[in-house]
Amino acid sequence: MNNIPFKGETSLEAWLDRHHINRIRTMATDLDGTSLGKYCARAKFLKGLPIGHNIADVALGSDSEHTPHLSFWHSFRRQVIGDIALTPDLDTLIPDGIDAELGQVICDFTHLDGTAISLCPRTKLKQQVKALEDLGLDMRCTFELEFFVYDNTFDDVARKRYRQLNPVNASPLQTIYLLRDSVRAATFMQAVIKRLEWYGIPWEAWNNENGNGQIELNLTPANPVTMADRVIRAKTIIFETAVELGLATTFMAHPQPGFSNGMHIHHSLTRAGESVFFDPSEPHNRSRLLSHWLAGLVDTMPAAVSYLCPSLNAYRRLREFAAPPVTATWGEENKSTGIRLICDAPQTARIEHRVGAGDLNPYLALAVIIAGGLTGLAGELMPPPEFTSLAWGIPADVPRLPADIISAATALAGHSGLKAQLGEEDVTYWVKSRRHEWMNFHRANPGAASSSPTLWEYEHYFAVV
Amino acid sequence: MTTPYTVSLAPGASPMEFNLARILRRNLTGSANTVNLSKLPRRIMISDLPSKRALSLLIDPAAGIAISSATSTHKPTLEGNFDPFSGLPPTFRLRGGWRQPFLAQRLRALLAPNLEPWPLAAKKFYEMDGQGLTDDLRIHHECIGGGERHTFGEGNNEVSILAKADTLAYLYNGYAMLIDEILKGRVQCLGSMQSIALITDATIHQWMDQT
Repeated sequence: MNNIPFKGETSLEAWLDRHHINRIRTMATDLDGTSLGKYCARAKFLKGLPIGHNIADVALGSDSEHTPHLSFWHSFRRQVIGDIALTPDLDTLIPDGIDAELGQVICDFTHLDGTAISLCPRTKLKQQVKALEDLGLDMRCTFELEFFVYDNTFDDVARKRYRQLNPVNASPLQTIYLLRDSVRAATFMQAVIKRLEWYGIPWEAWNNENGNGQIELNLTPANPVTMADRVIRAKTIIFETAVELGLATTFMAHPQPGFSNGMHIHHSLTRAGESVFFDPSEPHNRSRLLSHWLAGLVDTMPAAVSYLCPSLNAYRRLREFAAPPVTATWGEENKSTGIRLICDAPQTARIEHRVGAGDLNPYLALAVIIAGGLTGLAGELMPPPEFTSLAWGIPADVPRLPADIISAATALAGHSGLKAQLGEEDVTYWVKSRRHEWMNFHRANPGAASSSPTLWEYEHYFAVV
Repeated sequence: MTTPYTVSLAPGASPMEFNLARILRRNLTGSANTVNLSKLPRRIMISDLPSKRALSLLIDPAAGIAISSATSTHKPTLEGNFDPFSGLPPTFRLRGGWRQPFLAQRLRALLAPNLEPWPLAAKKFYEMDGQGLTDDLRIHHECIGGGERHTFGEGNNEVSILAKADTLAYLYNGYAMLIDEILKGRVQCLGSMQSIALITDATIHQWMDQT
């Protein structure tokens, strides 16, 4: 048996036979970045093609408790609760590797006739990539995945009510790059890497990160949709490997005091394979296009926070001097600003967007970044002056990024450019879904003003995001 | 002329603070405003008894009121039930109020909700701009027990909302949300999922209105 994906082949049945696959796991990503799907018998899977199998429409219209959104509306939904479809992208079909008879495929939420639903996060990203391609531009991007690993099973974690867990590290200090801490996690990470490679997900490096038991994994750049697919699959691999080894992992943005999980996003733009960010004839090698793109990202950053920090818990991360940015600023090789620019050579010229939390939805995060850049190109915006100081602890009159889920949603609702680029109805639905999450939290926690995460946050995010 | 008071919320405000802000705004800026902020203490501490949560109202007689969370170690001026999801306006009492009857009276004027009769409030609700309600939506309201029936809107998408007069009053005066009232069984609702969602969304919009 080998791990050759279906992509590029013509006969699905022959591919399934060759890999002895009798079951297929479908997987789509909802608004909150959660993976949803079914295990399908081979015959059922084949019968449903090309549209795929049915799924309740509320799968794309539910909150983090998977309760349907009853109090706001989107036109994709049925008048009463009905079905939509999960349409497989057969280019993503691969053998599972662990379960010898299982195949895995990534899907889009679609109408029953197979037409796209614009609210679907993967479709939303494809729309933005298309807009970029219409300008003759290609994007390559990658994510830095940060997550915590605990020497407790998920059952144990829940039984202990998410407290006094055993982080997988050697030192009790919040060290970074400490090889003795890495060694403690090496067995787990070797198992993760093996599966990443089996799935065809190239990686570059991993290391011990600052938090106790925290790991950072860097994936090799790819086009946006492929990259987001890989992030979702990598997160699944990390969860499944932890379950198999009796460990627990979490991408929850702020699961414990101290350092948090971020998900920094690097991206570059090319035209016919050549960098359009780097121009040696311009000051600091920064092309005109880079200036407009950067300006769009900075201008939309307060509104984009809603997508980049989707949960209530994510806002516990945005604190001064805690590593994440707190201002809509940019600077070359500045890791305290919202955007870090690297523009020293055409091969490495890129932007690192540092706002994203560990629990973000990679499809929506990339979509809002591309949309922000596109608004900058369309309006030929120019960025504010480069921020060359440390962007923490600065005077209070420098505006801060939204610091809570409602402020972020309000900022997004008020940004007409981003709404136009991403689709008014879809953005409005997202804004209302954040308001709904805020209300759900406060219904369950009327006294919630605690400085540390609540049980509600752990139960909703720890094992799920 | 209405005094241009402002009511501000701190970043990260909770629904309890939003609810309180709404009451204060209505009482301070409404046509029936009789509140004189200069006759109130500069700081009022509020304790929500069910949640043990403390809120602080900082009063600037010239500008208005700033609401923020407080530590529960402060001695409360007022205590009561400020649960924003109860579907009822807050109920409260002044600690030692019998010794300060005039202050108790002023605080009641500041914090007691302004309720319009539900048919009038429902009419305003339907006609309010920015609620997202479509012209094609027809809403019947029926008051259980009272026999009153009112209809707003036109078109084929019909929704029937049945509840007691008090519940309808709280709902359309902005002190309750339709979804909560339905889930608690205080409102009966008949209509398509879309129509109910549109009205529910509008009641939440009104409940959160900070203008």
